[in-house]
Amino acid sequence: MSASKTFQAALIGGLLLALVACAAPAATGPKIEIVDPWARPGMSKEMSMGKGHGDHGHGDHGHGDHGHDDHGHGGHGGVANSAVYFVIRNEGDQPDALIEAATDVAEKVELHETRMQGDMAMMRAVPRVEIPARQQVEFRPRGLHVMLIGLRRDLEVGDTFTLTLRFEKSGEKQVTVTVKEKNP
Amino acid sequence: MPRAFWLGVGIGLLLVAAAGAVRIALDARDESLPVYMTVPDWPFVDQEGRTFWLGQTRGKVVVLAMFYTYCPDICALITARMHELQKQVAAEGLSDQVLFVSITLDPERDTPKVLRRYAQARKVDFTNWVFLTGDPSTIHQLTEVLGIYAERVYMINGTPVATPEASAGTATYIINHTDRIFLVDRQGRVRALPPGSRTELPNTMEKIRRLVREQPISSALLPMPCSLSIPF
Repeated sequence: MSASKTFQAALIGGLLLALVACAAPAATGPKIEIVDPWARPGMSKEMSMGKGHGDHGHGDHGHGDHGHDDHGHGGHGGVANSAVYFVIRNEGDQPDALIEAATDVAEKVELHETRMQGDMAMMRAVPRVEIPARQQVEFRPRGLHVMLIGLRRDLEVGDTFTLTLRFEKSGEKQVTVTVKEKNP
Repeated sequence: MPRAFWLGVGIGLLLVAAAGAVRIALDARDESLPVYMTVPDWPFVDQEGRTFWLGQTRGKVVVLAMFYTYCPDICALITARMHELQKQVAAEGLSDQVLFVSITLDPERDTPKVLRRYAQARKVDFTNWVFLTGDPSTIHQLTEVLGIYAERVYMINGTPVATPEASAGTATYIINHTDRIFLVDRQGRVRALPPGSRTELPNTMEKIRRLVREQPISSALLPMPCSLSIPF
């Protein structure tokens, strides 16, 4: 083959290669969407807010013939909790991970998972939840959930509040959560 | 004998046989619910702070569960399932014959007031539903009678710790527990074990109706009651 033809072949091959490379989309990263966020009804920590006479920092053992309640020593008067559920969709080509959640309606927020072993319900905190590329992860009853610990106000059906979810790569996402009574 | 006579005899015999077969089928269905254990007549405290003896439930069909208010997932579902059953029981005009009983696994945190607010947040009907707390030892013994497993897991910021002492009092705890509901007949005997948060309502309602229809048996045929061990 002559040198000129070799050069032409190389040029055409290089052009073809460039064309293919340009046609292939570059990696864009995760693309997170939160779908249908909802929370269970819950009561606020009325007792630790000091409402009611003699309730400050006290609980009761609840035994014996009281006729009235909330006298005693020790205890914490109960901590009011709730749970938030949603679906996380990652339509991007890179995985991500949910690493934290926060809201003003609770003192503390943790990521939790319920696992069933036979008819035993086991709950544990999880440090992160992986969201694979082009997949979705469901937070649902009897599974993953965001636990709201120490509600600062009552959550009644129909109420809404803001929840901030922090992802490892995608950063913070704010969602509006609706309080519902859903029993799947 | 005319043919019509024998035809009438034949039809009569068929009707008697059919009635007998229906009766046998009904009896068989009613007798198919086994007896697991007897709910003991022990004292607890209800959401109003009043003493409530479990023996007070005798004479009614009881839907019973053990739960705790700190648990936002499974226990909320158990309570929700029971609430749906309560509504269906009311719709069928059986509210005066069926009682719902929720007993806490966490008497240290679940005081009567906490239980009352928990139930109020879920808009349950207190007419035929009580939420009970009580002496921790009594509650523990009840879990043993009912075969409920309950295990405390102490945590700091979501990380398990070996003992509460290891955390200098800053740990909180969750309770891993059996996910179950108990259907109790009018004599205090547990007759069905629906799977708690996974309870199927139609199937469970059918069992409740069956227990409502059952005739009470002689007390002489009932097993000896469990005695409560009170530590000194």
